[in-house]
Amino acid sequence: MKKKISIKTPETLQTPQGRKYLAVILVFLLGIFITIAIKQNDQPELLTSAREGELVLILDDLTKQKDLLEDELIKQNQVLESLKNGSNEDARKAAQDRIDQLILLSGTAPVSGRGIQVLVTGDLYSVNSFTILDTVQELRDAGAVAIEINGVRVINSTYFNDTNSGISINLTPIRSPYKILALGDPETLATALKIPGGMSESITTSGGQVVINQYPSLEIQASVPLTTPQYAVPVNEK
Amino acid sequence: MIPVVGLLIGVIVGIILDPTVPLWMQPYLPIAVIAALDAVFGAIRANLEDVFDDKIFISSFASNVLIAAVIVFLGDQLGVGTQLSTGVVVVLAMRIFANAAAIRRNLFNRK
Repeated sequence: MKKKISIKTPETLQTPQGRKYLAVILVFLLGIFITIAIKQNDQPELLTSAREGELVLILDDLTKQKDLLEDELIKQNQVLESLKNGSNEDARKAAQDRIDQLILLSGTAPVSGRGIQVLVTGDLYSVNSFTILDTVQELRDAGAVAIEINGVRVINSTYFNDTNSGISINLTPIRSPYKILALGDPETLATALKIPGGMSESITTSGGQVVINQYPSLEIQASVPLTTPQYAVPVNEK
Repeated sequence: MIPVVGLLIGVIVGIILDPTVPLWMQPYLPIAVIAALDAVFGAIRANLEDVFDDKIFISSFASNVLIAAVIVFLGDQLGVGTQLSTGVVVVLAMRIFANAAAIRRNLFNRK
């Protein structure tokens, strides 16, 4: 015996006309949903679609960042307070700190600290100005505060050129072997140069040689003369 | 023709009104859209083969969307939501491609 299963359909579905309308309405709804779905996907980072583990990580990260920033705020507020109170000693110390930072950045004085020495040997094919520039950029990305190449200090206006016999830095010709000194966390700097596809790999695959040594104490003697700003002057903030 | 107009009006209304979806619905929406698209492609194919039945279209549209949502929901509960969503999307996409191929063949044969 067969048992017939019948589903009761709503009134509107029983006429062909009603079904047609319903079909059109469904397609219409689909149109709306498509736009919503696309818009929803447009939002840069949808926390709502992240899994619990990811959310915990993000929250952790943000909390850490917040803590760091709050510490920083407290410190800066203390500095501000002490400067406002006019304590001469504090003001001088703050100024000295600022000068030290600027000396590091502008490369106008010899500096010393932890760092690495990179010895690069290679012909014009394996080592050119681009490789050196890459190296400098990789070092800076890894947090190098001062860099010297074959006795020439690398600062923000330093440029590299290819010449017939090697490379020139700021018009000073240098040849292989290139001795690069960089101050910063030695471990980080060395790792940065050794990443796959990085400077070390690209030089060695094209026939050059790279030797990286880490030093607990390293001195960069080279410096650049202090120049008087010609086209711009600092604006004094009050 | 009318369904195409309906779809376009839907898109325009969606852009203009910019409705927000409730949070609990958001993971299901993309899957539901793809499931619905599958139904639409199936309908186009059926229409070209002169076997279109609005009853079947409506029921396939509804059941596709529902089943897709249920599968994703179940996957989320079981902790394999992403994988199951991927599976659903892959299967639906395959069906859409198959339907599209059928539609194409049908259009060429008409000439």
